[in-house]
Amino acid sequence: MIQLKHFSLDYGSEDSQVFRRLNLEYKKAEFSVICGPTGSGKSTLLKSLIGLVPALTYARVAGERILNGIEISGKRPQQLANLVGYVNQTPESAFVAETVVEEIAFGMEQLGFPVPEMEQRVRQISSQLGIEDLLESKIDRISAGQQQRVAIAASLAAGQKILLLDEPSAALDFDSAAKLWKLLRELVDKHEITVLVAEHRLEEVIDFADSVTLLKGDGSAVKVGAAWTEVLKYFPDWNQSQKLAQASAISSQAPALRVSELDVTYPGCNHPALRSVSLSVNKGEVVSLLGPNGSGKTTLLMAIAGALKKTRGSITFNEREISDLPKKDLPSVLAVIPQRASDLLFLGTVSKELVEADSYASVTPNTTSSIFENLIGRIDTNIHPRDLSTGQQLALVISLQLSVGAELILLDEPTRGLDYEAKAALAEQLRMLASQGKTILVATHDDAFAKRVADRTIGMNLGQLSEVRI
Amino acid sequence: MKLYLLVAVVIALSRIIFRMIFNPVTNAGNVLIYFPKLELDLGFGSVIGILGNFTTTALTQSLNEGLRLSAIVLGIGFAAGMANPRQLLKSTPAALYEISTAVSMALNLAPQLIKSSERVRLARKLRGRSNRLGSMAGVVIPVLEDAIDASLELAASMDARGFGRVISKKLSLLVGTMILMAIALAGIGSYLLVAVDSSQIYFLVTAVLLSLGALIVGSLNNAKTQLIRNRFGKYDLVALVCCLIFWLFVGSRGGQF
Repeated sequence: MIQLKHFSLDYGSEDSQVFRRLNLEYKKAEFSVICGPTGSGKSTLLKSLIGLVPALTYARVAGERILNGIEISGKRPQQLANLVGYVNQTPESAFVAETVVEEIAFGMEQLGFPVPEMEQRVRQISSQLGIEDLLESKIDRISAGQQQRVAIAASLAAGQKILLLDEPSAALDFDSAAKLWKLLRELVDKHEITVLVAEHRLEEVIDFADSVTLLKGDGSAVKVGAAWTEVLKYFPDWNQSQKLAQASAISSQAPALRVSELDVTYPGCNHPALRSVSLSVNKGEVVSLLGPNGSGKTTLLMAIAGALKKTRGSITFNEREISDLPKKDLPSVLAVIPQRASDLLFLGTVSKELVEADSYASVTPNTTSSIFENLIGRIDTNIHPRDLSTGQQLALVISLQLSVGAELILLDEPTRGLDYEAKAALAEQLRMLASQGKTILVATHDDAFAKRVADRTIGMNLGQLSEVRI
Repeated sequence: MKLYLLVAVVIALSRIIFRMIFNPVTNAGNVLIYFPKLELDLGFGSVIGILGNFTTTALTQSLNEGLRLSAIVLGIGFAAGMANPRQLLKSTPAALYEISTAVSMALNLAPQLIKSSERVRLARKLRGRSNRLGSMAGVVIPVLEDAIDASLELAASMDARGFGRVISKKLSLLVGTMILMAIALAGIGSYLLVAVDSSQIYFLVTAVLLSLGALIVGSLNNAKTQLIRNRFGKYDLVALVCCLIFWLFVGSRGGQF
């Protein structure tokens, strides 16, 4: 169904080569997971199979790309729309219509399907994907998992036989992701769709797939069977059973962070976003907060950080009520790392950020840069912070926050967009900080990361603490 | 809509309060509130009268003036509330579909920019730097980065789903040529109309005809169909009735509002 023959891709020079004479083949009704380190070209490979690369970029391509017997070089994505469906990493940013039914029909409308056929296909695909009850719903009112299903329905409604998905589980919790993998397997088995998925969380999807395409990061790729033993032959560092040393020596039994009977209600809402939440985290302990999207993890972190007003309860750190602390003193007590760490970076170079942090914290010069070096080693600090990888940006933000002396670190979904190596590095950084006596609370829906890094895991659902499934 | 209503009420009330304070003439009618009259002579212009008796006539006049402005604000609010860019998108001719989609998407960018700015503002607050590092770049760069990323994602998704697909490339070329000719003729026609006389109108007429031709050929060249067409709903009926009432009202006053 899909063939790549001597396929090469670069951005104008040898140094920028992403793929070097790739030869890959996928048969009809095959489910393959594309995996590889950050920057190895997972998204680029998918985009080059639907013509978005080079159409929307200045990339140079060579070799053959054959889809269902058609050589697609030189074809625009519009010309392949009836053959290939594509779902990007954030479906919500790619929705065009207001309601589910309009979104599903959009692609068929562009292809000029007659109205009766569109109606019939909308009914058919929505029933296949279990979203027939949502057809009249507004897209922005449905859950992330449902949005993912709508995006898949919209991509397959015109009868496409190939489905490409870029990081579909990035915004999904474990259960929603598991449902998605099951659904994709059904599409492959029952409807003979060929599915290619670029995915970081290989451990969750590997059991549902037929093969794994490993992009090695040097422009080459290899397709192996869907088994960890096969994958580990090429990437031994990805061993998921490896667990970091826990319960650091400093970890004490006295809770440093204590949240008691906390209620938070957003202005204008009738229902509380958090209800009677009570938890404690010891000094030197890493606790992960695990729960589905919308369960209240971010709300809890923001309430602890003082960015949201609590309606009831108390939040204390080292016996001091956080809401009583002057706003200017908060950075010296706690550090918050939001989902997009880059939002905290304002200056033109990494070194300027490091110097500014020293000056803001009134500490001796190079204090922040030595924390940064401790976390990720020595790197060129004359580059723009946005040119750092996501993992490096996280480390920089943690260093900037720690220079002020923060003892409590709150991280919101820190693993989004990180590959295995970057996740392992982050886990080690957090363990190291815990061993230095920092108190760490991590909100995540990445079960594997939570298992790897945390001393303890607390579950969260519908604004309340719940049992932990892992 | 609530905001527009609030602004309209504030405008009407402030006009009355303004009239109470700056009461230029002694009005006829019953006195509603007694205020002492102050006359300020600033040494230039006329003497300014402040306060004084506030009469029913002054109230009616100020209310009349205030309501006129409030009606305009409410009208704008009404139009903004009713005009859904996505609905407008459905009503455009097929040839203008791509342009109208671009406009509609651009309109949708505004709320997204507000969301991004709020996120960045919260991030600055979390870093404890809300008053320091006040450079615009710190806010503008992440917000623009968001906007560009979102636009590219959307463009990729739309392209991948067949947006912009045409039946014939030759017809696209013909449409392009017709539009270029229409623009050129419109330019020449406008110049001749101004420089010579109105007998040269035929250049402009040809330009209009060519544009219409381009619109028709362009629509024929678009494969697009539509599953759900705009329906005439109850809100549309309310809008229509309101417009009719307004039209009759203005007509009854000889075109005066």
